[in-house]
Amino acid sequence: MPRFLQLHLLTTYPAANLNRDDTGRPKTVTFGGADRLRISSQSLKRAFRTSAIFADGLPGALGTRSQAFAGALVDALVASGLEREEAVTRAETVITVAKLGKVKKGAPAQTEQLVHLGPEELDAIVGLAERLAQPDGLEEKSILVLKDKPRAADIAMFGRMLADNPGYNVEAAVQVAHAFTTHRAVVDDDYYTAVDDIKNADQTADRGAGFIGVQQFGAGLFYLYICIDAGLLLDNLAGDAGLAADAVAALVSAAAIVSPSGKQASFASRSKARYALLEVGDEAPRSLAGAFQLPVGARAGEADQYRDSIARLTDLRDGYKRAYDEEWISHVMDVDRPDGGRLADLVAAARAAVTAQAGG
Amino acid sequence: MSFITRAHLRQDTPAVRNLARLLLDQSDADNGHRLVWTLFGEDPDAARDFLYREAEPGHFLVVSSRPPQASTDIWALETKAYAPAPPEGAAYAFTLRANPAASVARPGARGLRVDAVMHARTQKGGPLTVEEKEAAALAWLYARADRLGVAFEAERCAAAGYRKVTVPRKGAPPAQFALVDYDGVLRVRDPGRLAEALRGGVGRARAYGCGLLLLRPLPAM
Repeated sequence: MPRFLQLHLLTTYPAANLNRDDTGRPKTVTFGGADRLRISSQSLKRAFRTSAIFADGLPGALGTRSQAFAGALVDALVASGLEREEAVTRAETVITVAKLGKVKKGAPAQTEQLVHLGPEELDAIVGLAERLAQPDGLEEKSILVLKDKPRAADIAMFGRMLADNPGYNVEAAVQVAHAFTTHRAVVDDDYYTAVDDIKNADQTADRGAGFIGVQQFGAGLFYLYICIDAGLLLDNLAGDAGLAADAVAALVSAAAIVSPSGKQASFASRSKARYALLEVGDEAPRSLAGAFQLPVGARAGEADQYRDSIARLTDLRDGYKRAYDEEWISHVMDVDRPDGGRLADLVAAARAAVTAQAGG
Repeated sequence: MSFITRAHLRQDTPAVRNLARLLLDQSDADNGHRLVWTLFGEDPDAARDFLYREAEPGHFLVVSSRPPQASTDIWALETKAYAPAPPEGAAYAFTLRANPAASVARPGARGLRVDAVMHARTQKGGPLTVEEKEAAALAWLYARADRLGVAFEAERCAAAGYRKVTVPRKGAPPAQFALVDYDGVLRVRDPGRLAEALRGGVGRARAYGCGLLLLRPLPAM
């Protein structure tokens, strides 16, 4: 049975404010002795989770990551006639007794940490309102909010950690690597671009208008690796094969389509993957990041970052296949080739793999 | 009027690729120096009136008082006017590759030129930790804040990549100097002095790719 799905993506970002530190410096990583631009996996996962693709493809099956999840309970208690202060106190008792986290000081009915809860768990919290509204409605130690395996595709895929209640942690079935450029990327270019935004002596323009040029820096061809453990995903979703297939379909689509940027309105840096390789099999998973250890462009004859990156990627895949007798089944989408395959075919293959895993 | 130029050694045509590789293979402080000179090289007796930084092999940022002139077969050049006038009080991110050389007074003799990190090592009488090296390099930079017309935000400044470079010279002993890469945030105190430093450079070894101070605005938070 094909237990693992590996997704390898090459995506061009022409001008983007993708992922920066507090001084506006793009995140970087040094790999093979060369600086690369980097997009953190946290920022990618967040972009996927909050995308329309997830919302549309997984209706009613997405969790909520919040510190203020008990707010709805407070509102329900107030609606049933309790004073707000008393409602907050009772809601905070729920947080404590159900071990959802530590109550945050100075914030009514909020937790110190973000807590990722599934739809049923959130319903369960609000469902306590009726009991809590009674004078002695709360029998301590009997509140059960958390579920071992919440029916939430994002929690099943990306996992969750409850510092105060590790018994309800969910191990991530999807591993997302940090995306990085296959080639060298020079952060110093940022300073060249910035010149137009530092007021020139002979100009009276307000410097506040500038800086867009700098933020546009971030161009490059990024390699992203995602590994899906279909067996663990099914287990996390308590064997719900239909939801697991929907989850994987949404993930493959989102990874190819969604850009990790909070500033789409001002940059329109939307990009779709130009190349995607989906591998399905039961081998020990491995990233193909090593293909870019020597930055693309550094080898004689390399002039096309895109095609050269694909060549490096497929060469390493073929090398692994030969050396380790690997039996991955490959599905390819290459936007630049007329016969390059379709995203829909990759999504269908991913679905089929999850369904086969569930059946076996 | 000054100019800022992004200069790449071209590698995109077969004719120049091999030539560029030949140049790049020997690219160190000395060859970087000679390569950049070719951008301004019509007059061999001209005084150096440019600053540069080798961002990576074959890839330079240059600030000059004349626009560079070079064969477009070999160089890809993008030049624009450079007359920065950062207003007083404004904060900028900066980057600077510098030779942190200081002169140590010796009684009865000429000052001895040493780099700040080596000097700190001598004073300690033993090898420095990474943190001590960074502190020594930053102390050198902070000591120049007044001269540069800025205040450095110490908690957001870093110094890394301390290394020594030896450049062989014809008919003279090799030039030896230390390099440090600074990054951080500064605030403008004296716009006139800063503008001068942006065009004129900071510290020594400016002929070898040191001293080009570059600024960019901070993103709106």
